[in-house]
Amino acid sequence: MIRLANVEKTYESGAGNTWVLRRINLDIREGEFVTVMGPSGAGKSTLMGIIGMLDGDWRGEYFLDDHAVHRLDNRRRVELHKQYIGFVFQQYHLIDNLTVAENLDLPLTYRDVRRPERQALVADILDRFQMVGKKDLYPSQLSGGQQQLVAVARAVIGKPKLILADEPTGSLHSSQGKMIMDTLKNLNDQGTTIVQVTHNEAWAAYGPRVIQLADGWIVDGQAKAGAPC
Amino acid sequence: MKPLKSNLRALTVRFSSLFGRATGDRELEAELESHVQMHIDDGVRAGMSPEEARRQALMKIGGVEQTKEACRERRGLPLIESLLQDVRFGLRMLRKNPGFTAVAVLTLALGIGATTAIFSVADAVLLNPVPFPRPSQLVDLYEKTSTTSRAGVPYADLLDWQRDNRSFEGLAGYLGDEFTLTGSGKPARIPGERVSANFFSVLGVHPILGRSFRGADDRVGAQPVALISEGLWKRAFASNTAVLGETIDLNGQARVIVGVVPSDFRIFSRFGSGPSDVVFVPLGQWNASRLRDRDVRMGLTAVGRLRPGVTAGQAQAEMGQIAANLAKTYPTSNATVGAAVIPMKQDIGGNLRPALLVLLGAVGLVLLIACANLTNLLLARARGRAQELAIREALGASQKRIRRQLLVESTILALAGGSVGILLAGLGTRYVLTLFPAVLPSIVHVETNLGVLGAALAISLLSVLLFGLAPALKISAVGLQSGLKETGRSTSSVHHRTQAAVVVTEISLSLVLLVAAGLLMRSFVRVWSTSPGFDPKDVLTVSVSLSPENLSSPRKALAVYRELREQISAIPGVKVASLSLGSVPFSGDWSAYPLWRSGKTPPSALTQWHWAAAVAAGPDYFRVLRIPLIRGREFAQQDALSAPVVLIDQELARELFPNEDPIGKRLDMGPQVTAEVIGLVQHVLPTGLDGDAASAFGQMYFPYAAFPGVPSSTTLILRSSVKPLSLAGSIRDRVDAVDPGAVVYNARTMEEMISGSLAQRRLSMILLGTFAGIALMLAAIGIYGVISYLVGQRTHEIGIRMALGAQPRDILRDVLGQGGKMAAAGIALGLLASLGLTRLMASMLFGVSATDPSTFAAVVAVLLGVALLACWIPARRAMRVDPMVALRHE
Ligand SMILES: Nc1ncnc2c1ncn2[C@@H]1O[C@H](COP(=O)(O)OP(=O)(O)OP(=O)(O)O)[C@@H](O)[C@H]1O
Ligand SMILES: [Mg+2]
Repeated sequence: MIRLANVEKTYESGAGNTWVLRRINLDIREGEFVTVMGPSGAGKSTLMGIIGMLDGDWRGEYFLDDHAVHRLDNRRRVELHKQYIGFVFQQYHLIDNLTVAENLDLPLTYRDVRRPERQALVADILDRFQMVGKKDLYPSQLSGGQQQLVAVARAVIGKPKLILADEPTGSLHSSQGKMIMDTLKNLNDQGTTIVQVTHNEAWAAYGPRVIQLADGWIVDGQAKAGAPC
Repeated sequence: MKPLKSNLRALTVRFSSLFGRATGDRELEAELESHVQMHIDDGVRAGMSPEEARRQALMKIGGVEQTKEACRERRGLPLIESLLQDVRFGLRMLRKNPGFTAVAVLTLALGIGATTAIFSVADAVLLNPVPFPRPSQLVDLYEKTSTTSRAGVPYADLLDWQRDNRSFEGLAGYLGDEFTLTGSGKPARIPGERVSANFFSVLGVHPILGRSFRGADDRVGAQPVALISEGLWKRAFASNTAVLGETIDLNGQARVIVGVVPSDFRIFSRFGSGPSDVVFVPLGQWNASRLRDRDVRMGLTAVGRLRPGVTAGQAQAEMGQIAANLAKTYPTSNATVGAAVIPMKQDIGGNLRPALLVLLGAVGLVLLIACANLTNLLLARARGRAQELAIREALGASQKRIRRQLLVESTILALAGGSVGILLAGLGTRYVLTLFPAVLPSIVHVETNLGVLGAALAISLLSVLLFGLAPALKISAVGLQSGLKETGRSTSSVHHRTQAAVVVTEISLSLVLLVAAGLLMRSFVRVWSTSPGFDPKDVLTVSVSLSPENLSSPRKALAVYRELREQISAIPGVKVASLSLGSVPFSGDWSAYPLWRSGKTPPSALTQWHWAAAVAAGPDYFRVLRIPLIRGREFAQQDALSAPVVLIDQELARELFPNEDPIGKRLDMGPQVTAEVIGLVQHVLPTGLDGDAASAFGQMYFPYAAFPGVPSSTTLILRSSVKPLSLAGSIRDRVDAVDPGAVVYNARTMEEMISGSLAQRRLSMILLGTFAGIALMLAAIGIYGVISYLVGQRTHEIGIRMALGAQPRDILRDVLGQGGKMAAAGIALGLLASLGLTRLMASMLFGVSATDPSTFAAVVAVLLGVALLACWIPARRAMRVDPMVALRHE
């Protein structure tokens, strides 16, 4: 489903270029559950941003199914993003002045879903994440874990084929973390491709494949590329 | 330090986004570092070692051992030096935010400059227009007739008034005229005034040289004397004091110069900056019989100085009584004539009043908008500064020091804006004067009014200082801790609401101004496209005054004028030429004569007759102006010699011969002359396109050759096939050839004359248009600033939206929507206000209603367009938010 070939990313800094990702070659098949690990600053979030098409400034080749992402202009990338991707951020990134329900509704409005259908989907997801009672609260009125749950729900609501989760359990208590991981696993079982970043070995164990990133290089994980889920 | 760092980032995003400078999270750190560096540089320059300089610098910005160091600093740094440093930092801050600085300075300058310029004019015209001592005692006097309340005063009446009144210290008369000045060089035609002997003493004006007139000068047969203007004295007599006793030739008569009138003395009857060559002669010396005829109004104005304690109202009452007595004594001429006493101040400023009041209102609105803009700018900045300053304070800078820093910054801003404003005020006043000359009474002296300038400066500077201190007050209010903590989220909506409210107000105010300007513009177009009843294109008028020899007899003068017409008709490029006298359209000459239908007994009082403007029309007059002949015929050669004949216009025909064919009917021109109507022509507008009082009068034409008496000057009027003014030279040559002593003057195209009649209207339109433009610009800056600020605030949110699949155009729509809502609210409010306010300017409108829907619609469209454009710039920046960068900053 995803094929990266020689993807490289640099930042211009005072002295010269800082390399963040170097010669990344990676294949991820549809339905896989992949974990990206590595020390802080290794480039994990950067990689997720590229796969999620939030970042368009890199070199190399990126095929998403048979779309050559590296050749698409920004508008088409956004379209492709909408078609494929649900993103869970390291920080929850909920919009403060929208309620839980409105936050959930947002991705649907950008996908031109009609209003009645949107209402049904939001009600459905609130129910699934057991947050019906919280739907009219603002993010600041939720606990960290609850906010992260909303963020996951928001990533899922558009029924994406690919979920990119950057440390979705980052600041959570382990029981809440487990709940989120279970949710992701559940989605994976239904066929959704999952790529997650985590520092937690236990969460990494939810999927069979781990990619190790260090200083922008893939140091491990390519070998297991063929493993079925 | 973790919250500090993230706060710094959030802060920079907000702070620098206000004017769209590249957002970098290193900026503030760099800013602080550069401050440190500046201190170091200063220290090194002052002879410290770099290490010591750095230590001192850190200490000043806020070292670790703040208390101790602060004490030492205060001891060590003289106040003046640390103030200089604050000034330098202030300049640096302003330089670092060129967008903010430019907008703030421009806003201040426009507010101060525009306000002062217009206020100065209004002040001069409305409040202090009379440039004479004890101005409140001065009144102008006119006669009231059945047709007008400001008719000129017959000289005989003036003499009676002078004799009978008890209200005035002095009562004088003056009558504008033109004189041919001969003697030195080419003959020239110059303006002059025939004045009563007490004219100058009534006004309180003293000659700079010699004396003014005496009673003995003011009689027929007295020695011919004259006063000359300072300008003429300088030009023609090289400011020689020996000029007294010399003679000056006016209309072929030598007059002894007895005095020189100061150049700042202006004459009311003329407009414009005032001619520099003017002469004054005693009114009573003039032996023209017309002058002493109670039936003839030559346009003499009386001016009086009230006795102390007498009010204008009391004078009016007395003059009414005197007029009633005269009506009894002279029933034929004075039966329905009253007297009008008008304070000079009111008389001068009167007809400009509505226009100036509207302009004053406009200025007030502009000043309001400017202050609103400043408030918003400074408040937006205060948000950024509050946090920065809290950080500084946490680093050890004392509150006092911070406040002083802010005060210094605001002062620099205020001074910069103020000085540009003063400059603009000076230029603006001059600009307004160049627009005004044709309409501003020349008696008025306009200078940039220092009091007004001071007031405008004070208002705007105070607002800068006040709002400039806002950030310091804010930290004091919320306390250091929350100042630091504040991430910009909790209070932003309150702030945002205040700012939005200010912008909504600005938009509504500028809508009011735009609507007013729009209505004036439409009126102007309407007036401009009104047909005057003839074809003004390619028409030239030139005045000619013959030499005294040629004026010796009517027959001789007529022969010379005929010869002139023939000569000028022969000039290549002249299609057809004619001679005329009297109420030639738009010439400024307009006078009405009494008429009555023959056979019916006329009312005994002439004022109850029909009055019509009269033109002595030479051959081809109607062809030159292309005035359509509706019935009958034009004048023929022999008409002047046979029984009197006239042409009349439809207006007069309707009055005198309703529902009848006027051709062949007879009318009485005064008690003695009866004329036959031989033709009917179309009505023409005599003085203005916008339906002024004169255009309601009918017109009557009689043959030029039948003019009674000797016309000392005449108007040549011609239609050309080339550019009319290009003919002026050859006309002068031909006139020279016929009569070398003749004076040719006042060559004007008819279009120029018509355009001149629109000067006041044009002026109001331009000024109000300028104000509306400024207001629109300020409103655009305002909405731009607020939207920019909001986009900066929302960078993170926009990043999230993009990461959730929002296309750039979704973001664009979102931001434009936010601006659009403000614009819509402002427009709605403005429309309501306009509907109420434009009614006040109804008297300035022509052919459009005060609620003209298409003007309103056009203004709404323009305003909405500009508002959206102003939002579009920050919106584009929002579209380009990089989600990866935006999301990283949290
Ligand atoms: N805008 C930027 N300019 C310069 N360098 C950047 C920028 N954004 C990220 N980097 C650098 O890119 C590198 C990779 O960052 P990234 O966020 O991908 O790390 P990460 O592996 O996700 O770390 P963590 O586990 O802490 O989240 C870091 O060294 C970071 O300093
Ligand atoms: Mg990361």
